[in-house]
Amino acid sequence: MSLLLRTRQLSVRFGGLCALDGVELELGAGEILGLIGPNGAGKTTLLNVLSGFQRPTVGEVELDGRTITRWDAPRRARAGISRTFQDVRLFEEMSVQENCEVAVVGCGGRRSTARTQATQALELLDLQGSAHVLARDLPYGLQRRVGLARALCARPRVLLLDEPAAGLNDDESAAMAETVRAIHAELGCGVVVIEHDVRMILGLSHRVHVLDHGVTLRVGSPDEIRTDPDVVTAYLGEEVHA
Amino acid sequence: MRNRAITLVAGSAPAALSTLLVLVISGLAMLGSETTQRTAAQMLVMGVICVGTYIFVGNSGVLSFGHVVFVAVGAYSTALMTMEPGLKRALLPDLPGWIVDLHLGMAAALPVAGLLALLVSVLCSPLVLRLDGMAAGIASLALLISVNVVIGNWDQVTRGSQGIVGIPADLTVGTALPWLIGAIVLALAYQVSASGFRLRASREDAVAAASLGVRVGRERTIALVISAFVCGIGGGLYAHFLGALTPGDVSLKLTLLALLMLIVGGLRSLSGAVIGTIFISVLAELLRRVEAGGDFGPIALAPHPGIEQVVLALTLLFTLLLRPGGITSGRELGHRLVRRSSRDVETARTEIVAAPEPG
Repeated sequence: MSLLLRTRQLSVRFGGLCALDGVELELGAGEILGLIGPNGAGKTTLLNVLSGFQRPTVGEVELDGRTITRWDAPRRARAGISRTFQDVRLFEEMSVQENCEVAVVGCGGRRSTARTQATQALELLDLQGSAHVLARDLPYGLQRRVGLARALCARPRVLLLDEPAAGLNDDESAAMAETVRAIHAELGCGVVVIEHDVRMILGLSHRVHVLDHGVTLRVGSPDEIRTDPDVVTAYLGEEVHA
Repeated sequence: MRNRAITLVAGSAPAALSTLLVLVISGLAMLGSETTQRTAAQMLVMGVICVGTYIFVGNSGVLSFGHVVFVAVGAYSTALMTMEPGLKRALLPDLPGWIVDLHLGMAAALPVAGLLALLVSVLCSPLVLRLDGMAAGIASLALLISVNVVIGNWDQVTRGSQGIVGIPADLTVGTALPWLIGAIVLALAYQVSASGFRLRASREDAVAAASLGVRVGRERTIALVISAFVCGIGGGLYAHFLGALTPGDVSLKLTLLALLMLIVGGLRSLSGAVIGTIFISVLAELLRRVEAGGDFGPIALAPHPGIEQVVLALTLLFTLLLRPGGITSGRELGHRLVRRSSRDVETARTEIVAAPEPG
């Protein structure tokens, strides 16, 4: 498995607070990597560093062995790194279709290409029925799916998902996991996914990276993580034994 | 193919309908008195300025009080290009010789004025790139005031606070109209372009847009430059409407009038810029007549000094309170055509409700 995205000795400090400390994350081509950890572990900060919204204090980010630490977010998007947001951040006054088209036009694509790719993305996520509805008129669960459709519309090589199932009920979470799998199967991209729903993430990921207080606690297969005593103590608690 | 044709027609509907509206109003005004025609000419000038301002403010969502700077550059430069050389020599003895000898017609001078305004906007663009929201608004206001002070003191070129007189005041409805139509067409072309689309996305959410590859600063600069070009032309028209220019003509008062028109019409659509201009121009004209008083058929009205400003201010207040999106609420004229060309909204909504959750 070739390395697609990696970080070297990544640290982010906000004033006195150390949000990330020497994190080495590796994402293989076509891999789904789960990123878990208790609240405040630095998961979203790490995703912000990977997507170019947060400069690391120390350390490097590499894509295909190329250092991209100083690239801003738009440049990374053009290089094939796409992300979603915990709070979705749709373009509210635009239709669902237009939301997806931005992903293609934003990276310099033509509007006609954008139309085709957006239609395909919406079909993949079963959203074609709402293509011409304004994003703000959608129910919350569908907004999350549109966020995902938008991120995959540009056909990224790396897809970063920040809590795609946040605020969804159990059925919707399961559906979301299926959707992530479908996207992965369709694009063959590497996926980093942050999620609080442990059952979902252990079922979805090929490997899991556990953060705690900005430090890497463990990296391993879902089975290793499930039974690791440190991880259980730090994060999983009693849930695993149930 | 048919779909594509429909999309094209529907996409240009806002420009076509706005233009039609302008044509109808101008046509009606041509039948009226000389005063009415003059008001209509002024409306067309304000239309160019508002459409110009809209290109940046409407598409980027960044409020600007500074666009009258570009109007001022356009107005003064047009004046200096179209005035009689003899008059220039008399009024502005220290003006460089090559400017004195320059003598262009209005149609030739306006594009040059637009380009000069564009040049100034390139110099101002770092402001726009680095600031956002409230900070950008305040910075643009500071810019407007600084430029106004420069105009008020640059005696060799602007004749300072005394102002320039003797600009050919030859603007009519007929000569102003093509420029407004041109501005509307340019604004629509930009708005539906890939660059305009990217900027509109960043208006909704700049962070999300950046995550999808949009270089927000670059798109804002493009809009600013086009916007300044149109405002510069609007300024040139304004100079030919007034016939005389003082720093006070291109200051905060004009800024507020343009913003009033934009906000009342609806900041977020091109149709809003046009409709707001027409609405406020007509309202202001009616109020001016009430203000002056006189006999209106059977009704005799006493003069009501100040009523114009008061009612215009109240219009702004009530728009912000009751219909913050303005008359158009951010929609374009003919937006129903656009929707219908692809899919009926109501059907789509029922489908969402009916669609089973996957998985």
